[in-house]
Amino acid sequence: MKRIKIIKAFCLLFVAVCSIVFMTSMTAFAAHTDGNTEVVAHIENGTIETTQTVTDNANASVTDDENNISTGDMIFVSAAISFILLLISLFVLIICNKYNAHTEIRRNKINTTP
Amino acid sequence: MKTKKIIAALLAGVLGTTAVVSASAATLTNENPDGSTEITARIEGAGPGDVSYVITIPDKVDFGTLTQPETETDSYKYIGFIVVATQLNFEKGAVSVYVKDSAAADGQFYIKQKDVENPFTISYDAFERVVDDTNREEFIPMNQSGDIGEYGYHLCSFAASAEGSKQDVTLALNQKQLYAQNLDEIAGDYSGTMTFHSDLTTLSGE
Repeated sequence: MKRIKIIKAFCLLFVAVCSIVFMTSMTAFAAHTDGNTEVVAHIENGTIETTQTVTDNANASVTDDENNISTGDMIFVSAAISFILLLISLFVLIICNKYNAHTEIRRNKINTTP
Repeated sequence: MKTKKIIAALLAGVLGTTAVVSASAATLTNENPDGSTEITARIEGAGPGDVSYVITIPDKVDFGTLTQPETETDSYKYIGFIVVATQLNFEKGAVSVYVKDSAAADGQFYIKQKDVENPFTISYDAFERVVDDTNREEFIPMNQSGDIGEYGYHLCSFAASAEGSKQDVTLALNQKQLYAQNLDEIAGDYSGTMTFHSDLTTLSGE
């Protein structure tokens, strides 16, 4: 009985996580024709240029990690996987509930049998 | 029975929360820490996962540490990046890319001091090519061309056959703007946003 409850709690948590992943994947999967690039800089307190540095790219940098590019195909696969996991966890939940109900009926029959 | 009702209510709350998460994730912002930002679009009739194009822009560009010049003369700092036509899945037409500073009403590009009541603002120019001090004066930056449309300045167009093409962009910030400023007041982190917009134009009869 206790084990069933633990399994049910775990499944509920799993359902919640899969739901979040699935919904986020579906949203990311949606087309977006606009994108933003953040432009940043920094000024130190008390920094004065003593020589005229005309061209200075030493501190300039571009953050562009090409390994993190996600294509539409990859997002679709992650959405599909999270949806399947969601279905599996819901299925396990239903089975646990039916097993629990069956166990309750048997226990009630034992208790009422003289 | 009561337990089941509580569980059902909790589950409904969790699913409602996921809807909020998805709504907030629908907007591409400069808080995406995961590297490149993509602009995508999809044509009708395409299968799941298919997109008509993917344009890649950087998530963030950094001018680094700015320095205050001793004299009131030009002192430019440059930073370059590329816009890439990562995928072009259409046969005819072209994808046009536009850019603007959506927070600026005058069509210029700015970075603004963060976390202060009266932020200091620094402007920068955007060129659709590689620029440095040897050739900067030969070209007019996009933000000084005056050709700003609804979605901003036209940066480039990628034709259907141009998959993998790259467009150079250079941002130029003149540190002369810091001359004679009180460093105690203008010290700190600065941030601005360039908003890119893409538009697929298909040509009939080709």
